[in-house]
Amino acid sequence: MTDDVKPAAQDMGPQMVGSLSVEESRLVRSRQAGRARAMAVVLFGLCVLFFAITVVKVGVWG
Amino acid sequence: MTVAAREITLPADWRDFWALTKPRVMSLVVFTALCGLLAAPGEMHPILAFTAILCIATGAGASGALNQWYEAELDAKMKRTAGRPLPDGRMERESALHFGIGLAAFSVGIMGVAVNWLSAGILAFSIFFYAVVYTMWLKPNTPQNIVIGGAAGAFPPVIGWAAVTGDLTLLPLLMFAIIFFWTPPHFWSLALFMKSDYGAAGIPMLPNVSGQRVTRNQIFGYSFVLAAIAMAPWYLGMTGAVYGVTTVALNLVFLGLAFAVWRSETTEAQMMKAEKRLFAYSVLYLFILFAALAFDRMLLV
Repeated sequence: MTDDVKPAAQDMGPQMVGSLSVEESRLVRSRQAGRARAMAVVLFGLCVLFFAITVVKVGVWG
Repeated sequence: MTVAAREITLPADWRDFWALTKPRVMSLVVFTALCGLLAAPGEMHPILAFTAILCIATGAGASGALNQWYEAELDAKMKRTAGRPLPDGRMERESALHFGIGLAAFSVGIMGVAVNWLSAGILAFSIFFYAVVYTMWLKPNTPQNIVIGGAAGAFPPVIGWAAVTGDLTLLPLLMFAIIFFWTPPHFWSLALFMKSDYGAAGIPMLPNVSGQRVTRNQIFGYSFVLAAIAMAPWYLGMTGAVYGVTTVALNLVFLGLAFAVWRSETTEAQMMKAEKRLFAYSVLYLFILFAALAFDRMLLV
């Protein structure tokens, strides 16, 4: 096997089928966590914004 | 074993989604929209003004994401864009499409509900114009792509104005015209020293299709039109001396730099100092011009 040929996961041996290495697993989890945190910040910001827009529209703040 | 060796699909990082929105372009869009908003007569609640600017920024981000979704293969051929999330393989193409459509729907919907439907309509049209008319139709087909496509970038101050007043008058249309006529000298000076990049991607930019001499002539010609349009708000009495002095000074320098580009016969990209200088100055020009216009109008209003 040469370096420039990229084998599929099932060709890497039975121990790799359907699983990720520790390094890959950590990378996937760190990206998922990053996206979840970013989404949480966005959703929280939107909640605050929609509340503020509603208050302005109903005239509480003039 | 490396991660790349097994071709696993990693979820895209949130920074890749951020990069899809073209943050640097967005900053110019936000700034010109804010100037349109500040220059408009009338008052707007700060929260609604913030919402309007957020929607305009999100709409610009949607345009950027849809542009990168459509041009992923072209971007891979150009050095300047090869590192973007899609050509670099950091994100699935479909994710960019869904992200772009989601941002577009969000920005237009919130703008309509929270601000007014005139500004939401112009915002929707500007996203459509950039993503469909410019990206899909003009850019791959005509060397006049950035002339007509420049309209897409000219909408933000008009949207900012419409968000405050709910209507359109001559001044927002002049602000539109300033950006519209600023775009050709700005992008063609870039295209002159990035000619090989655009050529490799098969994009028919003016220097590749009509040659450098024609491009230099066009840059110089458009600079005069830009100067006339940029001074119009002042000599039509819509702004005061602050904008008048600023616009005259800025345009004299612009014309001087455009003259240097017109006179230059350089064909080597590395040697194109005049073109790089005009490109860099054009960004500064637009920032200062719009800041002066907004400041002057705030003094008058």
